Amino acid sequence: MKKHETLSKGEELLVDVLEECLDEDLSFIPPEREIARIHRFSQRFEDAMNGLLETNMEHHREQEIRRHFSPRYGHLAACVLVFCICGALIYQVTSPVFEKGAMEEIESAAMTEEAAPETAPEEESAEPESGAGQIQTKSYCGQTVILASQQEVPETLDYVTTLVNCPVQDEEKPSLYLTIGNIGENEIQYLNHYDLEVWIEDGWYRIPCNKDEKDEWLTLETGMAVDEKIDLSDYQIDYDEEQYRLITYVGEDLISAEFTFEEVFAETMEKLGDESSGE
Amino acid sequence: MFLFLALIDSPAEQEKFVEIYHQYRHFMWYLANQKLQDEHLAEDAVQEAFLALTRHLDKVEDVHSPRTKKFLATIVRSKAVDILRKLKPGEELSEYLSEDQNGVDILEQYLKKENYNYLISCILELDDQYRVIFEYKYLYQMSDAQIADILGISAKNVNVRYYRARKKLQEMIRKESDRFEEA
Repeated sequence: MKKHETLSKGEELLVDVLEECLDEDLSFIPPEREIARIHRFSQRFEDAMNGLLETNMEHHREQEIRRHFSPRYGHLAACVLVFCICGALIYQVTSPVFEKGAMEEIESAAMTEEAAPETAPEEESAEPESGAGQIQTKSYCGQTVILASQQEVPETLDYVTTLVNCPVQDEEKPSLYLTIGNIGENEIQYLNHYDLEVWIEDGWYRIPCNKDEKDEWLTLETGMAVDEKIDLSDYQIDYDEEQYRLITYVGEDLISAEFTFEEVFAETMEKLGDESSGE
Repeated sequence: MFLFLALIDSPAEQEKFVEIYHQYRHFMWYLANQKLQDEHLAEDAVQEAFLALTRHLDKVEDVHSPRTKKFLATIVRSKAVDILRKLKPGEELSEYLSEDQNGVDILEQYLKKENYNYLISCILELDDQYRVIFEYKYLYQMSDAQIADILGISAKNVNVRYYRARKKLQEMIRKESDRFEEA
């Protein structure tokens, strides 16, 4: 949000006053979790919002675009763009300056390559974020993964715990089990949608899920645990990558369970070994 | 063309929207319920607010910042005001009848540091339908067209409300200072 650029002194004072009044008003609002305890959204609301979150947002945007731009202007803009591109191409090819400029460019590119031979690895498709509007992405397993918005996610919370406790059992239909345990004094709500993220060089990147299923908030009673099956065939995964984590939405919090396939597999194999030796 | 491209959905924006929804929906409901005193109408206000937000996500830079929280508070309060106005159509009509050009706008004269405390108490007492206009205009630097889009009214009516809000505030500060002088 932009800060005040062309305000008079009086208006600047009004801005300060409005800020202070809003601060004062909001200071009386209880925390999200407390409000969540006193109010549960109606099914009608949940359905409407889920619709908006999943599909209607795009639909809504399309409506907006239609409202603001008539197809005639769109065609006109497209024609102008094509004309500009063609013009630029023709100019570059026919211009005598082009050859000199192009040669210089090639030379400088070659020099840069020589000076920095260890630049980004092959798989990286995008540069790290340089401005507020850019998204940091990487190429992973033939898909684009986006830098997770929250990098620091706690692995433990005082009222809930999560654990990945099953190895990849079947390569044809691999799956993991995520155990969610409610160790707090109140029942908890968790979302039956889990974000699978992979660590690539400098951060956690969210792997897109191919599953198109409705997300639901589920309740877990105090002292109870539940095993949630995560079907990995819904994701495109490189099983050799080192570190993964599953993000679980619990109430207003996020909790992460980190794992590697080798590690989980080795743990289970050890356990199986112990059991068979015990027998 | 650039505007057209800017309107196209991006995964980052969707992610931002989902994050805002999960983080602030209860907070927004609470504010709406304070105003409407009706759980279901408050849910409607929240829903309307999120719909409006899809068109103004660019105003949200950091989901977790206090500024975002305030912006959402303004949107949901304005939606609650909208619902209240629809419940009382008579009041709505009077609002739209004329531009109410009587009287002189001398608010600027009252906006002085000496009046800071009056201003605070006046803004706290000012009706939300006027206060949100000030917030959109001054805190979030939104144009009349943008405010009109959020409120679902014409830009001309935004202007009418804005001038009414200025006059109302001016009147309140004057009364407040008179009361202080009398005391």
